[in-house]
Amino acid sequence: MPDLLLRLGHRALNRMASLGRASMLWVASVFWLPKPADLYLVVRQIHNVGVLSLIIVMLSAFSIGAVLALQFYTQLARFGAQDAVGVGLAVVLLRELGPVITALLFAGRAGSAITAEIGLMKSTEQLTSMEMMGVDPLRRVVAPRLWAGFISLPLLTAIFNVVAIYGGVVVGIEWLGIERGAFWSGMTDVVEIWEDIGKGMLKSVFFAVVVTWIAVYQGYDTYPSAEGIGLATTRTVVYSSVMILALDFLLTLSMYGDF
Amino acid sequence: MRMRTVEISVGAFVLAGILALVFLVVRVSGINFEDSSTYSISARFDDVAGLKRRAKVSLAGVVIGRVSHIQVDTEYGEAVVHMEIERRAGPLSTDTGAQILTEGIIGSRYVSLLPGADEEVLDDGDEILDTQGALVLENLIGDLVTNLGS
Amino acid sequence: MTERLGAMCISAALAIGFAGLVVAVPQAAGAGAEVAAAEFESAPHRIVQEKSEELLDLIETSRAWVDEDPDRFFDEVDALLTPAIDFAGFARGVMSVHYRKATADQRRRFADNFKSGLLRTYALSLTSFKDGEVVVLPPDGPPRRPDRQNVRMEIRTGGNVHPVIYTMRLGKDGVWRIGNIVIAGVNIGLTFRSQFKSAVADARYGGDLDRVIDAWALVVAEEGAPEAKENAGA
Repeated sequence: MPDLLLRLGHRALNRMASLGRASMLWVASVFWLPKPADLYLVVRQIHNVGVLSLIIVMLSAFSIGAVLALQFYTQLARFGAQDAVGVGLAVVLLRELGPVITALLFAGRAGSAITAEIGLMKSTEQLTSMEMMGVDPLRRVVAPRLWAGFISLPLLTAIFNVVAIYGGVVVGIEWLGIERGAFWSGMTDVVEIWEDIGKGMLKSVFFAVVVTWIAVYQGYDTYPSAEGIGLATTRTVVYSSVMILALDFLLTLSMYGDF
Repeated sequence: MRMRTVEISVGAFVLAGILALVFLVVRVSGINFEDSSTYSISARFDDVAGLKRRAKVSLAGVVIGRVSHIQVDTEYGEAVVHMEIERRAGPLSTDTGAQILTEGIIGSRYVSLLPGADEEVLDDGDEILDTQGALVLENLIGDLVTNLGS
Repeated sequence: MTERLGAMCISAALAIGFAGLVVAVPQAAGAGAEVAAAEFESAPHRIVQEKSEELLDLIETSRAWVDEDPDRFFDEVDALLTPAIDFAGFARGVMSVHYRKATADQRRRFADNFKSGLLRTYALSLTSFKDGEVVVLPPDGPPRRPDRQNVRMEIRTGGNVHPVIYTMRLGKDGVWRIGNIVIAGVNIGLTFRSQFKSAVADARYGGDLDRVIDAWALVVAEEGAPEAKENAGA
């Protein structure tokens, strides 16, 4: 019995310690603004987390936009309100699905890669050797990845939204024959710059911070073994996804919820 | 050479992202850079039935403005609706009437203006005096039934 | 749908509104007419109160002969109400944008048609309005404008309360007259205005102001009824 309590206590302390390490990591790296000379590190990471995620993001966006248009159409056509497909599509994408799904995809594609990469560096003791050579691994390894994440995810979200709306246009206008003018004018009538686009982008900034932080920390805190890297990668995806969805609820509540 | 392709692809990615944002702002939210100067007028209604901020203000079915905010005057028990009217829509006579009507399946409310006979025109800060609040269906049916019965 | 229902109600509502004028009784039950009239300091309220009482008296005294001589009743109602209602202003508001383009003759003809239409259609139906009580409500606050004031009134019949608002306007001659009526939330002036506007746009009247003016009673009575076409053409 005391044994159990002791173990519980240890676990709690371990959790606390890992949260502490994660916060220190975050603070230490985020306030490191990239110097012009180190900019190429960030550029390379934007390539890794942003450009390489582009294809999966665009493919998902197109099919999600197409499916949404199809579903909205079948429901709205019963009331003869097909023209409202554009409005529904735009609002749902800009406010919720765009930021959330892009962030989930980003966690799966880029977050896991960041964790695995840093985890491998750790288990092959590259990080330790950097320290021995007097190079700060936080600046060299962690910070560029954090910044790349902050920059890439909002951009990916904007691209996701545009491609998804294009998917909706292809299905709604080209295939189902919604009138083009009504589709677009319904959209422009309702969508507001700050209320819909601005708040959606703000959400994706929050998600970017959360996902890249989790990914980097899990990599940095990996138990240095092949198994450890696998576990850390899984954790990154699971924790990020849960955090994205929970955070999205809170953000929606505080942004749109004047109930 | 390897670094150069990375740089180019990142540049293209960032450009695409920014262009996507611009597209969203311009095409989807429909911001327009035309003459958008407006003036403000108000109107009192006995019942606005859930008219919302940003609701349309239309004349002959054409949107010429938006509801900017709605106050309640508890002393007179009326709703005071403030509207921003686009100047390029042209002047409105001082005896213009304002009605609250319902649109579409969702039943969103909007303000419809009916111009009057006066030569003088409404200017910034003026009030529309002739108003027709929302006709609540329940009240209408109630009256109809009463009148048929009598 | 709502609009049609609204249109149906307006005719009924109008009858109540005019009935209200006719059967008005002082709020203080049992008090004499003079006492009640003095209750209101505000001139517009006093006028509504006075006119209501005069019409009430007319109804009472006319009971004996109204069935034999409806024209006389109509004339007396006309004589009584004409000074109190700003028919010209009312009609001008109904013609709205078309008023600006109309000739002086058209304006006068419409004002006449408008007035006789209102009186003829509704005055006689008032005689059947017996068991009602009408209360002119005191002003709910100081007037917001010097030349315009709303007078609220309640018509109570058979357990129902119908709110009526008279929009009183101060004429250039310093006399307050009724410029518009809102009955149970229906703004009669604005409703007529949109009816006039759509009648002018209606193919049945060929966009001809004169034909709309002449057929005004039909425009109001039956929006979109088939016989309106024949009559308008005649």
